[in-house]
Amino acid sequence: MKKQVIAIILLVLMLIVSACGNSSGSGSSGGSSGAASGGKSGSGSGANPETVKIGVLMTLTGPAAAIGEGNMRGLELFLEKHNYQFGNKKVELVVEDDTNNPQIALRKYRKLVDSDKVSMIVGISTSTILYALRDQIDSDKVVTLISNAGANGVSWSQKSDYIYRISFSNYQIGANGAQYYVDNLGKRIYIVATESPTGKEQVDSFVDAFTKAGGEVLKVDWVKSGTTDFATYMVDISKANPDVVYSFNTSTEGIRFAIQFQEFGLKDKIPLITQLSSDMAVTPEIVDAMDGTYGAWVYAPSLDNEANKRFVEEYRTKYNSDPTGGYEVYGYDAGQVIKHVLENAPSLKPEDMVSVLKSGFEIDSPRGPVVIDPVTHNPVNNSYIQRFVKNGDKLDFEFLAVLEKQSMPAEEPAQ
Amino acid sequence: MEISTLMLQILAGLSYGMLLFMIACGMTIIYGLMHVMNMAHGSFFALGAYVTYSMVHAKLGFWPSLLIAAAVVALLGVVIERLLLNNMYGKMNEQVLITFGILYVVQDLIKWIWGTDILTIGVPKILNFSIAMGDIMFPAYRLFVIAFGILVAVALWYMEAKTQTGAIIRAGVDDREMLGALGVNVKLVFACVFMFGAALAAIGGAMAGPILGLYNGMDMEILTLSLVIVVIGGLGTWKGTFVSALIVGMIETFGQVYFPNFSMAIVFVFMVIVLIVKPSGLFGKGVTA
Repeated sequence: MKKQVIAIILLVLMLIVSACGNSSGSGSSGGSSGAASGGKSGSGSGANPETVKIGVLMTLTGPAAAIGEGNMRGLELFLEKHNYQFGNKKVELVVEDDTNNPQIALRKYRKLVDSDKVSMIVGISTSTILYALRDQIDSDKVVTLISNAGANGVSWSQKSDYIYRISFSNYQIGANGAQYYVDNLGKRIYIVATESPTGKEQVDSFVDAFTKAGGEVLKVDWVKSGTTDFATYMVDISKANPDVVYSFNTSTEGIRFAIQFQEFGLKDKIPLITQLSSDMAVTPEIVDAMDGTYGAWVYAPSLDNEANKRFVEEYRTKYNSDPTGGYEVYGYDAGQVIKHVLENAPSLKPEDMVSVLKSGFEIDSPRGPVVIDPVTHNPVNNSYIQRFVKNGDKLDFEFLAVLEKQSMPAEEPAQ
Repeated sequence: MEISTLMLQILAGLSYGMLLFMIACGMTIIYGLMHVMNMAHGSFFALGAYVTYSMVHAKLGFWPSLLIAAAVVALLGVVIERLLLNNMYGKMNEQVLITFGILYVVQDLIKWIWGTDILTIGVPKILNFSIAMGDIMFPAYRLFVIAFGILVAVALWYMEAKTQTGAIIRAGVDDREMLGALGVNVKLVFACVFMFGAALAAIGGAMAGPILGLYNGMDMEILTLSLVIVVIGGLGTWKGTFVSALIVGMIETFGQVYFPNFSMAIVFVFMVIVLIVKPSGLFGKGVTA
């Protein structure tokens, strides 16, 4: 009898602990953990402020946590700036962590829509989650603002009247800079890419854009995630003698490739484009390997425009550090979109909010002016071509060009 | 495929295989003598790399850092062996559980101490050059890894065949009780062997640093490969490990290029075939009851 009692107590304790663990977004971001259903409410200026519940569904823990955490920091920064109130509408965030698990995401989504009854959802950190939720969102008619996931599908065949994006599409990331590279680095390009669904979308987009810009793709080598030795690829590249090499490899493989590209003597001969970001340059070898490589970015903290200067100041004041890149800006811009929608929509009914989202309004983003394209539901923004330059043991940017109004085609290009 | 490309790939495969050998042989020796399946071996590998990184960062130079890392990990090995494994000899399930537990704990410790960024160790200065081979410059460091691996293999062979320590170990593998009955301090031998295996894994990790980089999860990856290699080569025989490590290294390297989707699968298929044809592994002596 006594053993059973203990067992039951333990079981109940476990359930409580796991429930607590799940519903609050844990992580290092400022006060978001435990803020499950209590958003910060500031002093309202309008009479009888109406509370608008906005569901935040992001990946806040696990390997992809940086995405959700970055988004949250940007979003909270913007909302706090406005005291969580726009006009007579008070914003209350209901934050849920999907841990980048589609099953959990579905569950949390249902909770946000059915029991919290949120008026809109913002977030969606990865394309896996996006595809898992897309059909539900469309049939439930829940207005959703994507602040990260780049899957092209929701701008093309899987478009929904209720899904809009303020971050980027894989097409844009992939095709970014193609015209500049053709005009300035060379027409014959060799591509090495890490195999993944996102990688495939990005490479296909780049190939499409590069060839349309007048270039020739010599070869695309697909590399398995976890590849340790690129010796053979180096040989192939050397034989093909391209004008440019583009390494679409991310994280571990990306760094290895860049280092080995230098080790095997190719760096001095052929310009290298990568997808590495400056926050990865944490050791002298990586700084060395990335020095002189090219990249096309949607945002860099050193961008010289009013909105960005303000954004970086505000960020520093609140978080005591500098923004690292896209995630924080996407969160911040999501806040701007929310503000615009709440101030301009006649009501909180999905159709009314959608009509504002489709109106092609411009927001003053730290990345430059951004417009959500009414056709693709995807942001149209600037693309900054830059080159890494070694500065002591750090990596600096050298801006080369700005490509304006970069968007994506209205329909999927024929393969 | 031309000769020079083939040569390059073989060299790349060999250098990877040598790294694998250094880790796997520690595991197999430990198993052969002590019948301990040490799942935490991957942790020794990773810690070897990370400690070397920290020492290098403190401006200590590659070689001193490598030695310090080996010493630190060897010490850790002794502590684990004396405190945790001491009471578990003969109890395979408990050993696996506890060493697996250590693997997870160390994995998190590494995240805590060194963070989640991908880190690198620079190639030691004397070896930081490339040799022209055909169209390509092949990094000299990798050739060094091959040479070092051969050196370790030769040293092991010499120790096993020609020294008394080797004789004791061989005897212990054959019949542990008899060894004790002969008056050898078996506990001391065990502790030393475990320490040696751990140190070797750490050295492997340190040497792998400049090639593979340091990243979370490297312990798991290397553990999986080591287990496969040890099983293919034969539990308890380092000769078998040498051969199978080189084979697996080659399969992985060639596979990554020609069958990127299947390279891991090919390794496992190879393992299954070997086990079907010769269940005790390529050089194994047969399972003791």
